[in-house]
Formats: sequence, structure tokens, C-alpha cells
Amino acid sequence: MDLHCDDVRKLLEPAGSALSLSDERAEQVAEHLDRCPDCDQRLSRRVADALAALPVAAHPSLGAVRTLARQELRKSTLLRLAGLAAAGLALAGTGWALLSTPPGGSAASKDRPAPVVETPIPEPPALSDLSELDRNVIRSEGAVALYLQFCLTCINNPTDQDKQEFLTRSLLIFREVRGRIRSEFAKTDPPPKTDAVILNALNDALGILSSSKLASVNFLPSKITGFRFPTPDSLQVDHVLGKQTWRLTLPTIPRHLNFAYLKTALGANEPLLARIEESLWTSVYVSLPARLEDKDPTIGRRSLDAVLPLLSPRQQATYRKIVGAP
Amino acid sequence: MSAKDQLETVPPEDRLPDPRRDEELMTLLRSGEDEPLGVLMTRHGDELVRFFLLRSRDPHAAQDLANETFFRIFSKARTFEPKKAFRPWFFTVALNVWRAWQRRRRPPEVPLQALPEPAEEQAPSPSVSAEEQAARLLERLSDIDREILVLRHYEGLQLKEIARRLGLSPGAVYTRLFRALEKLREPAEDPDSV
Repeated sequence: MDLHCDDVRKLLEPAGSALSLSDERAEQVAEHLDRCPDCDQRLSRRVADALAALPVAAHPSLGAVRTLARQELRKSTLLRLAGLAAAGLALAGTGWALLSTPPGGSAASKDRPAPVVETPIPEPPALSDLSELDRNVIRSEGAVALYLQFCLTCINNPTDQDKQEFLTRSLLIFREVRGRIRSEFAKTDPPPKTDAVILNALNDALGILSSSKLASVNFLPSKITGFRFPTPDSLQVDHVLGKQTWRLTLPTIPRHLNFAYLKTALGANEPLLARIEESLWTSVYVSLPARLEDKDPTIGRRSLDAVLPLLSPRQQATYRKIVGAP
Repeated sequence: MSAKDQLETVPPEDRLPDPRRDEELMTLLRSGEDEPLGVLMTRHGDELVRFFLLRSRDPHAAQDLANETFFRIFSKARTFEPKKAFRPWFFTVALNVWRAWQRRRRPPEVPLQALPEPAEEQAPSPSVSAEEQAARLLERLSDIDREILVLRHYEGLQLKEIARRLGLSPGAVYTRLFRALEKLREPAEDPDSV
């Protein structure tokens, strides 16, 4: 049935009946809104009003902006001076080294004591040290993350623009599905089976993913019919692609790329974890299933590049240990 | 007293609305005057704080980022093309500030010994700031819902464009958007209630 402006405007009223709309009806309303500038304008006003009602007491101030301007000016002046000083020091240092180094190298460098580490960095936890619940969450999230990336970068060849959109979207989907995984594992009576939780989570992710496809993402499995870990280092997904069921075997995700593990091992709070996820998801995670299978030697280095700038020095040391880097 | 100082001492509610358009103010800013910045801040400051609040849910960060955005507006005024609309440029600058902040943000490290001992009984916080109330309201929304609000309101996208960006159907975007608006309308919970 075609919708008229009056119908749509009623739905746009606060506490209108939009919440109980069927999917089909919601699509019709959305289509009408995209076609009708007047109704669209009403929706914009409704959104603007709702956001304007969010209480805000502190306003940006000219004083704060002037302070920033002064800091910036000071910083650029200092940088210029520091540059000049560094150049001078480098010249003087080179001259001094040339004049004072005896042939055969400096004795001072051999006698220099090793740096003292004040507090030892603890070893990151092994998976077997963690509770069963943590282990299950870690394994499940790793499987879902890897499979989502498989759908984007291994069976499709999206354009760069689509890839960026797909990455943003798939990370949001991953986060949504992760919430469901955790609530599943929170149930204790009866205790959930990991494989079943992952199977449901993968189907959930696929459902959201396929609700609206990107133009250059042509192939998406329609259903996942089975999931298992045949060995501790691999996972198997049975999925329907086209008219056939395929069995996909992938290596499990390494600890240094597993978000749930990193949360525990680094003691990362939610905002830090979100930044780690975004950084890894848009870099090392791209084509990760294929890279893992090829044993790509750059994965470790690229992970360090993506994650270390986000961490405190202590967390950096822990992350290096997880990656196995010196 | 200069015009700038007057602007800072007159409370915002008592000021007459400035008739100049944003684009005209930017032209003046480009020519080196900084008085128009105050007018732009009065006009767009709250909305900008809300933009960052939606993204970060951190009231303090939201205000700092809003200040930084206005500083960028001021220092990059020459890059503004007067024939183009101000608002999209303004929120592009804000988005860049947000991205830069995400990249450089690090958790502060506090030595364990420096942390104060917890009190025996924590007295309830006497008042909650407006931004904290707003942050609590935004906690009710999922990441996707907040993203939809940002794309719709600040980037002015149509439902089908948002749907394409987030990989949802337009109907799902509409339903989520409407649900988010309803959640924001629900009265805030009293933090002191048990």
C-alpha cells in the first residue's frame, strides 16, 4: 500500500506507532521519507529537537581557544629552536666523536652497565591460566572476527570505497554480536556449548551483514550450518554459498590479534579496547584469514605498528611479549 | 572596552542574535579579525559539544574537543572558501579533530602508590553535571544508533545513504533512528535512587 504524507507524519510524532511497524512498513516509510522533502524535513526537525534537548552546560570559550593559540605559538617557536639546537649538537657530537674515538672502538661502550629494569613485566597469561568462561569468550570472538573478515576480503574483491565502508560496518556488527555472545555465556543453567554459541553468533552476523549488501560485495554465504574446532589451532565453518554447502577450515586467530584476550592481558578498559579494535580491524585484519594461512611473516610487525602507539610503556612491553617480539 | 571583551562579559542569553551569516563571519575571520569567532561559538558551540558527546560519551573530552575545533576554525580560516556553505566544512573540521584525538589518545598512567585510599563509605555525588546527564542518556544507545544520529544530523545524509554506509536496510535505519529518539526522550534515571 502506498503511504501518504499524513500517515508518515503521524508516525513521526513523538511516541508515534513507529516502534511497532513491520519491517515491510518501515521500508515503505523510509522510502517515502527519501522521496518527500517535506516529510524528510520533519524527520530532520525531530532529530534536531531530540539532540537539542540533550543537556549541555559547559560551552566552548574564547579564553580556552586563545590558550590553545598561545600554546601552539609557543610549541612552534620551541620546535624551531629545538631544531637549530639539535643540528648544532649533531655537528658538535660528530666532530667530538671523530677526534676522540681510538681505533678499534670505544672502551666506554663495552664497560657500560646494562640498563636496570625496576619492575619486571609479568608474563602475559596463557589461555590455560584463564577461566573457562574467559577462554570460551576469547575463542568465540576470535572465530566471529575472523569469519567476518573472510566474508569481506577473501571471497569478494570490493572497491576501496566499499572496503572502507564494509570495515566500519563489519566492526559495528562484530561489536553487536559480541554482546550476544557474552550474554549467552553468562547463562549457567544449562551451561552453553561453545560451538553452538559460535554457530548462532555467526548466523546473527551474517543476517545483519546480508540485510543490505554493498555493490561490490557480491558473494555472501546465505547460512552457516555447522561450526567446530577440529584442533586447538583451527576452526571449521560449514556454510552455504550459492547452492552448495562448503567446509571452510581456517587457522585460529593468534593471541596478539584477539580482542577479548588483549582486554584481559593488557588490562585494557573499554575506550582503549575500542581504539585497539579500530586500529587492528582496518589494518592487520584485512585479508587476515588468507595471511594466516600463508603464514605471512609481516603480521607481527604490522600488529606492533598498529597497537603500540595506543599503549602505555608497560602495556607496550606486555604486548611485545604477546607478539613474541624483542 | 573592545568588542571581543564585551562579547565575553555579556551573558549569552542577553545577546541579540547577530544578523551576519556564518559565511560572512568566516570571510571576516579570514581577513584576520577574531571577533566573529565568538559569534560562531555562541551559534554552534552547544551543537558541537553534543556532536563530540555523541561520539565520545565523555563530557570533559567533548568540551576540550569543541575548543580545539574552534581553534582550528580560527587557525585554518584561510582554507575556507566563502562561496561554499559553512556547516559542512565546520563539521568536517570537527570530524578531523575527532579522528586526530582518537589517534593520539593514550590512557593516563598513574603509579599505584599515587592513588588515594578509597574512603570507607563513598558519599553520593551531590550533583550530576548536564553533560554527565547527557552522557548517561547516550549510554542507552548502541554504537550503531549513535552513528545513525551523527550521520543524519551532522552529515545530513538521507536514510538510504545511511543504510548504504552502515550496511542496513533503509527501513532498519528508520526503525533504529526512531527507537533512539524515543530512548532519548525517556526521563533520566535518578542517580540517587536505589
